[in-house]
Formats: sequence, C-alpha cells, structure tokens
Amino acid sequence: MRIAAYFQKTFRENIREWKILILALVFGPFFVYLMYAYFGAATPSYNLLVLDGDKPVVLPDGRALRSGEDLRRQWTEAKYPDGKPVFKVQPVGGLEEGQRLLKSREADILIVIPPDFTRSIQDYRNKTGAALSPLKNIGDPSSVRFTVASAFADYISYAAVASAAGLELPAAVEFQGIGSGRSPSDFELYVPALLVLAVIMVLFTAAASIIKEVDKGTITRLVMSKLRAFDFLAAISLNQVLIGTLALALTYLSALSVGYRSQGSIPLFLLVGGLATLSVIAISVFVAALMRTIFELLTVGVFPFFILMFFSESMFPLPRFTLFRLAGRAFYANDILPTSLAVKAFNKILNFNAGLGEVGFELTGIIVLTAVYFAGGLWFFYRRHLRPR
Amino acid sequence: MESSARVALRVSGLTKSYKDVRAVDGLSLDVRRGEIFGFLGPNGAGKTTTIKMMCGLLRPDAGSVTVNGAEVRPRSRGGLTTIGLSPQSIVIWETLTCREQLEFMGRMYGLSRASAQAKSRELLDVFGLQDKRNKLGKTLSGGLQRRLNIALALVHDPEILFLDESQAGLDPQSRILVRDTIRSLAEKTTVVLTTHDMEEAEKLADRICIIDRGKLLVLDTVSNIKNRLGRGDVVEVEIAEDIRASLLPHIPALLPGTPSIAVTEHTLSLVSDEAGRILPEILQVIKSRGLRLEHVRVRKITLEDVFIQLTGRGLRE
Repeated sequence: MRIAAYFQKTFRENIREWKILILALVFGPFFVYLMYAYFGAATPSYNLLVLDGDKPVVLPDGRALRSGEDLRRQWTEAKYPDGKPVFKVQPVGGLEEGQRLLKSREADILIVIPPDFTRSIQDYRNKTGAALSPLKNIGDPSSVRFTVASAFADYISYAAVASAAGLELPAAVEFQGIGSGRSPSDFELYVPALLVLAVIMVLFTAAASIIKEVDKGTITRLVMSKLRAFDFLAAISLNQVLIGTLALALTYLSALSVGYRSQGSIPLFLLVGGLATLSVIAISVFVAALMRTIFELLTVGVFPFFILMFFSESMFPLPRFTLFRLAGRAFYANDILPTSLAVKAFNKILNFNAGLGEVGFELTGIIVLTAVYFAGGLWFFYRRHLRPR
Repeated sequence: MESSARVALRVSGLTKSYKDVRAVDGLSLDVRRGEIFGFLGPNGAGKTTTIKMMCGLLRPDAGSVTVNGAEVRPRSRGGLTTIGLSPQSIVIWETLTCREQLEFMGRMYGLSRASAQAKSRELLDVFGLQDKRNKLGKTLSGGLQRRLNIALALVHDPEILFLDESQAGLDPQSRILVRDTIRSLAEKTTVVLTTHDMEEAEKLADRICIIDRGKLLVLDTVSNIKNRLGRGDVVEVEIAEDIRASLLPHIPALLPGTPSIAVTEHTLSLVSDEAGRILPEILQVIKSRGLRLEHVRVRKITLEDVFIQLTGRGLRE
C-alpha cells in the first residue's frame, strides 16, 4: 500500500515537473533524427573518386581495349543484395581535386588508374614477363568508410584484373549477410545504441526523484514514517521503468518514422529495455548517494551520465579489454556497465533477429549487474542519507 | 525525577560530540504528559542536536530517550510513529497540493486511504488551509507553508510533538491561529516547543528548560524561573554618557541588597520590588553627577531577562 501511495506521489511530481520529464523523453528521438540526418537510412553507398589515366590499347584487329573503363563500369554496377549500389563513382580531373574532396569528406576513396593499366594487363596476358601496373587507393586511414570502401573496391578490382589478365584467383570468396541477409545501413547499426541512450536519460529523472527528498529535507519525514527503504526504491523504480519504457518506445517509433525496419521480436526488445532501465535506476541510486542537491546532480551528475553514454558504446566503438571469458563468451571491461550489454542485446535482437537464447548471456549479465548495483547503491545511500549518525 | 506515569518524554544522560566539540553534555530532563514544554537556548546551545536525538534521527554517544516508556531507537522498524516533528526549515513537497501532501503522509504512516483523506480534511480545517487545499506547496505564502509544515507532523496523531521554531515568519494573525492550535493540541498531545521567541514561549509553555553548551541551566515553570532573577520590576535607565566609569563603582553603595544589576555603556538595569522608592534616588545621583538622562522605563520581568542573565549577552554562532 505504501509502495502504491509513494508511486502515485512520485508520478504526480514527475508530471508536474514536466521539463525534466520532457528532456528524458525527447533525448532519444532527438538523437535518432540527428543520426538519420547525418547518415541517412539507406544502405551505405561509398563515394568513390576515379582518376583514370589509362590509355587504350588497340589490337591488330582494330578493337580498342580499355581495362580502366571496364573497371569503372564494374564499380558502378556493384550492388548489395537489396539492389542498392555499393559505390557512387565520380571521375576527377586530377590528383589535387581528388585529395581536396577526400579532405573535405565529400568522398571516401580515390583510386588512381595508371596510364599503362591496360597495357600491363595485355603484356601480362601475352606472358612477356611484365608486372601488372598497380592501382593506387588513396584515403583517410582513420576513416572506417575508407577501409570498407577500399575492401569492396579491391575485391572487385582483383576479380576484374584476374579475368582480363587470364589469371585464376587463388580463392573465391562468397559474401553472406547474417540475420535476414539484408545489409543494415550505418543509421540502422546506430539505432540499438540510440535506444540505450534513451534509457540512460532515466539516470537524471531517477536520481532527481531520490535526491529531491534529500535536498528538500522531506527525507526526514519519510524516515520517521513507516516507509521502508525497499518501498521507497520499489516505488521510484516502478515509476522510472514507466518513463524509461516510454522513452524507449518514443525513440523506437522515431526510428521507424525515418525508415528503420527491425527484424526482431518486439516483446524481447521490451524485456531487455525494461531490464536496462532497471539497471540505470540501480546506478542512479549510487549517483544519488553521492550527491545532496539537485544542483549537484545537474552539474556533477553529468559525469556518470557521460561514462554510461560513452562506455556503453552508444556513441562510438571502444578498444576491447577482456576481463574474463565465460561459456566461450568474452566479458569486456566496459560490460561492467549493464547498458553496454544492452546495446549488444538490442543490436542482436533488432538487427539480426536474435531470439531469447542468443541474448541469454547479455540478459543474465544485465540482471546480475542490476542486482549488484541495486544492493551496493542501497547500502551506500543508506550510509549517506538514511543512517542516524 | 518525575513519576514514570506522568512522564511523556524522558531524557537521561544524553551526550553527543562532534569531533572535539561536545554538543550535548549529559542532558537529563522529563517532559510531563500533556504539557507544553519550552526548550530554549542560544544558537549553538545544542537544541537541534538534542531534538534530533529525541526524534531518533541522531544516535547519541551515551544516554537514552524514552517516549511513554518506550525507548526511541533510530530507524526502528515500525517508524518513529509516536513522534511528530515540525522542523525549523519548511519541509514540504513543492509540487503536491496541501491535500495530497497530508493524505500522502497519512498513507506513509499506515493509514487507509479513507482515514488519510479524513485526517487531511480535519487538519486543513484546523490550520485554516481548506481554501488552499488544491494549491501546490510552492505556490503558498511563507505563512501558509509554515502552517502546512506543522500539519504534516500531525497526520498520525503523535503522542509527542516537536515544534522547532514553528512560528518563525508568521504574521500576527497566523501566530494567534498557531498558538491556539498548539494549546488545543496539548489537550491530547505533549508538545515540545523550541523557539527563540521568548514572548511566545512565555505565553505558551507550562514549563521551560534553558540549555547552553549542551548542559541544562534551568528547568521550571515560567513564573519560578522569573523569580530566580528577583521579585518586583525591572528598572531601566538610559544615559547619554558612558556610565561605566562614572556610575558603576558607586552602584553597590547606592543600591545595597539589589541582586540583579546590569550595566552597559549607556544603560543601567536592575530588578527591585521597591522600584517606586529607588528610582527617585537613582535619578538624583544622575543629576548630581551632571549626566544627561535619555530614557527611563519600569516594566515587569520577562523570560528574556532570565535568558540573558543565564546565557549572557555575547553573540553566538
């Protein structure tokens, strides 16, 4: 009964303090639209610049061979299984122009086809002992898009040159996508992380609900009443799970509104989302134990928020440091944040149609970590704010 | 020590130190059932620390507190349900209405929804908040917030009520309302009143204790405490010149047998039951020494006179 009364009270407060609530609810959708604007929803298409200096070779029968041109055509015609082009091929007039476009990130890769490209292939074919004239890939090595574009382009180039030179490729490689086989776009790959980001925002609303009682001194009234620490946290958790689930749903709907199509089970997604929200609430109890005022939460509290955001790989990938392996699965250092496991679980469920069994490791990890954080947070909060001194 | 049957609150050898500072030093006192008990002391005297220990919010280093025979233990499982506390600072929920706050606290003390609603209505009536029942806490004036602050301490009908500076910031009308309410509460509840307002304490309290530096200085009825200073009236004479050198050495000879005499730079004050006789003599001395009289006043002894005499005039923290 006390849990219900406290839940009702906190619910009213959250509705009336709508600015924090709105912030928590729109944060995820905002980033969805931001990422969509940045990446677009389509399968990634790489901007390939070609500086084609190749000179045709005219055969005795009068035919002109243009291996460079053939290669450009093959890059242009390369398609994903869903029919979307892999490259947007654009010729450039010179090296300087190509490098300028690379530096301004208007292109991902510049491939220079040498003047004797066709000639060297013909010489090789005629077994004159001449080496094949090399293609040159130019790009920013720190850019993932350059690395991927280079890999795709190289594969097409090797096959084309081998065919033209009469070579046999040492091995044939077949590409097969996991999940439905459809290649997810960069935006789609980000969606699981953005969903977790929406959940992480609960850190503020949950910690604020707790710290407010300390800040305003009302915790004294509660301590003197029959309310137990368990009732207090259960009511707040229930309320925050509602907020977290709503934020998650809004973020997911925002992703759907810009073309995101999930392949996985929605009930399983909601289960992981609910548990992830609980885990963030557990962490927020820790945060609340460290602070005394709402002002502290909105200033110092930003630090744990960023830790959760970045170390959960919600923004970008991190170097991996394996803490231990269990049942053949690696548990990385940043997995001590349950939100890191939630990102992985969301990715498996939503992008690769994983079932309960396939996310069992992540689910178990989230549950165990949530229990540990709750127990630790409760102990710490009791010592800091509830224990008579 | 009082007979246990009459005692609502018993404090025995209560001691609490913060690092090297002994805030409360072996304090013992009894508060009788149904009385209004004034708990006074200058800033830093140890009042708040003592109140917190009495309410089970602070663990004493030594000593004990019992309410109606049951020991007050910090964080007891059933809550501290025999105790009501209206803290010095206003402690309300800003985004709940008056009615919601009272009902909520009622439920926190285990009342059913219907009982909590009934209690809320009763307290809204008692504290003149019925018209404001649907107003949010943050939209109330300071005086209304103060009234709500007290009402919140009463939702569970505590056996003993601690009112810490309960009348601070109230306008005269609200003070009368709160004073009358405290008096009516005392018919069924024991009230411990902490205040710096000596006049209010004098008007309300059946007995008063004054503590300083964590120790009990005096505990008695108001009239008995005032009698300690002497019987009669207070005579205050204000003079334009510094009288410490010109008049102070001659006072004992001038007023033999007058126990309570205080002299500051420009003021002489004393207690005498013969004010009518000695005042002309004092005025004669002043005139004969060429001093200029600024102001003369004869008044009744107040609790503040006793308080100042016991705790001194020096400023505290």
